[in-house]
Amino acid sequence: MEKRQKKKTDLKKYRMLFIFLGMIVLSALVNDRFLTVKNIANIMRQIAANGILACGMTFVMLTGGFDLSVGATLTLAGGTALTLQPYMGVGGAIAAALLVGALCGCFNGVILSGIKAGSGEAFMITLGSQLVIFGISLLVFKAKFIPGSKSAVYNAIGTGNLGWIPVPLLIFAATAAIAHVVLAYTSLGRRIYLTGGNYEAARLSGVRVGFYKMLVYVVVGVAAAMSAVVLTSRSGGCSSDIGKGYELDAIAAVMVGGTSTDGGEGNIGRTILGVLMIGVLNNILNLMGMSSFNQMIAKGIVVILAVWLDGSRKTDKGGAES
Amino acid sequence: MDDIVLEMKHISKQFVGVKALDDVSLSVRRGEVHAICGENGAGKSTLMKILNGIYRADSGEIWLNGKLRNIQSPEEAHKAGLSIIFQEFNLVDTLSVAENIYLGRLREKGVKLNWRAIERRAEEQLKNIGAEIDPRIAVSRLSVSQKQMVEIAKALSYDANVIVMDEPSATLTDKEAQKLFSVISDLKKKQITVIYISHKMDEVFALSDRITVLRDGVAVSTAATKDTTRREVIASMVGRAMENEYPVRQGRRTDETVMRVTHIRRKPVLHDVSFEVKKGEILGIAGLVGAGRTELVRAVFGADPVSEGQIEIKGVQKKIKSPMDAIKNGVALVNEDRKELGLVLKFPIAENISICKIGSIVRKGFIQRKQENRIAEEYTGKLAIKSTSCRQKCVFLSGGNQQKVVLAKWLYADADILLLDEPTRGIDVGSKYEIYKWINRLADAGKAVVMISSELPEILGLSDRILVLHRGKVAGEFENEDKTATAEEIMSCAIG
Repeated sequence: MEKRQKKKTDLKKYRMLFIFLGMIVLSALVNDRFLTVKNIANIMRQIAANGILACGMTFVMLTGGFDLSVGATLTLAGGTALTLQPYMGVGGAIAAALLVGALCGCFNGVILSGIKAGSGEAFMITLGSQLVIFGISLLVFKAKFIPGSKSAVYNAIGTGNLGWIPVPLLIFAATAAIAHVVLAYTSLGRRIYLTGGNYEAARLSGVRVGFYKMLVYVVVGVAAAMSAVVLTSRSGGCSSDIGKGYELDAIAAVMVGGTSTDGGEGNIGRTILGVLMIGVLNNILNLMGMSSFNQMIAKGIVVILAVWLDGSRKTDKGGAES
Repeated sequence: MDDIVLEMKHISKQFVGVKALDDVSLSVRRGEVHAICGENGAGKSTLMKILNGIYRADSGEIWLNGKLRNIQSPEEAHKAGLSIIFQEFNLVDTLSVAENIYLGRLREKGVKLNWRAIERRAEEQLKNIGAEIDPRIAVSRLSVSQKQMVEIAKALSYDANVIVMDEPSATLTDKEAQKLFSVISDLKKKQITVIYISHKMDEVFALSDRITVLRDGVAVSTAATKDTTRREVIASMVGRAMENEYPVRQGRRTDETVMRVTHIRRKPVLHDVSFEVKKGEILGIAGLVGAGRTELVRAVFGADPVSEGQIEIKGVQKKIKSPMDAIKNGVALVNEDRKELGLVLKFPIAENISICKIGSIVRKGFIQRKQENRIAEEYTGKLAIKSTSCRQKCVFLSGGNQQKVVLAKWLYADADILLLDEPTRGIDVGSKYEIYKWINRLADAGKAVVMISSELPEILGLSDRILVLHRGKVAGEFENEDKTATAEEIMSCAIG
């Protein structure tokens, strides 16, 4: 009896992997351009920006939080990276962009940790800060398109290859690796998990929960700035809506991967899977020549499905508890 | 000759594994004030909830106003002539007094409500009990005492001839309580029966005609108030046979004060509490629910901010502003709610044991999982925690084993001062005994233990000294090194 139960949970654990493999098979059947080297490389290049952001979002969601403002942060940081290059050089401008991302995250983190926000408050407050940050970027950059960098190094970040591997994929892989090591093996990661696992119990056991709750927003802010660098490099410029919708893609990737919105459960591996799934979905819809409107609908449905699956997982767990 | 208005016969009720009521019979005469007394958890509330149709009895009969009733909901209780006023009122703050009184019964002829008629009727009901309250104002603007009057008016508006009041004076000032008592005497003159639940002996003796005592789910006695005494009532409230339920300590306490807490205040629950605890001593803290026991240990542990007070540990003044500070100073807190506050339930046993001292299993920032598991295995073995492995999630453990994980975590944290808040609540008898043995063993090993418990026998059986709290103040202190304190003296001190 117990054994069968275990087998069942094992299957559930890999449910998303099976769905992903199914998606690939289906995509390959539907469109013969899908499984070409060129297309795969293209997918890998496309998912990098969302992947980096989703790694940061995983930190936030592991604490039971939420961040809707990262798209706006991405825009502000991207504009910063391009605008400052003539004055500070590539390295300086990237550093400045990362600092902007960290500051935006810090702004969210201090407020949310200060009011001991639950996910509902986090939703509303980061919705507010999204407006604030987006408004600032419109003011600073006067809502204009900022032309791309003239630096070959900067442009290589988004478009270059190292051997046959796209550079943005390498950046994503490195980010994911670091995020995974931090979360799975370090005391910092453990304390982040504990903060999300049971905030009050962790606090009463001497974990500085307020600090970690703040820190994760800084992490996602920096991740948004990294995405901004990759994205502005790849697309050769920065428009005022470059970051639009990125917050939802990142949250969707984390949730589709199966990280719980309750906090305390999930990992980077799941997030990578979620990023791949969202990436493949976008790609196949593009290949099939679907309009961006239809893509929007498809993505929305996927997010809803992911939340629904998360809900059904929770009821499964409830069953096991009682 | 006795006109019995309510009779409960052989009522039994079992909750998962716990017998809450065991063959309780109660008969109440028309027009009397019948007091029901008992310790926390004696079954008073369960009995009333059965009467009100919130719980269903497993067996037994309820006769009300001469008929056998099968009460399945508060509405049916109302129809049968019975109303209950619970401690936490059932009023809707945003609605007016009149609307609250006639809530759910606003059906009038036609579509339009005749507000004037409703308000007039509400006013009459309130006047009947001598309450001058404008029926048009919102309930949120009323004082606690006025809300209670509204509840009574509401109960009467159902034509109830039996009214149950659950600890009605708990949140009232003395003056407001006097008003309540005069209303109760008026009700009695009108031949309305009042069942009065309280642990306040003064009130019970001033108001009631008869007193029934519940203990551990059994009705142990019913007596006419004029024929019994306070002492007798308290004795039957606590008088469990003291068998050898508690392990005997090997060692004895020392004279060395480990922690001294002075003038701690936290509004509105703690008003100036001071105490000290010695190395190797078990200090029991007794008191009724709401006396400030949990608030006291939480304040000492830094879990809640305090407005005033000093804490001295081993003769040195310490600033404890957070649980982290407390842990650094060797103070541990075992919470009363282990599922919500004690454990991260969805995490493995091992990660719950290491939680207070994560630093000890980290090398260069990395968690040493093998070491963590080794430690967890050591402690699960030591405390005989039944589990499939030390990576098993705590959700899947029984209450007793969960509590042992909490204990293991503080043993690993190597705390010198252990604050235990209801350490055996909701766990089975066998695990209880093991936890008692651990408490003794820890004290023998030179730890200072402060233990809160609502179970008096537990306090009497384990403590070297007993501190009694009453309304956020120390009401008394009893020596108990040779287990000489009596339940009666503790209880009368706790009642105040």
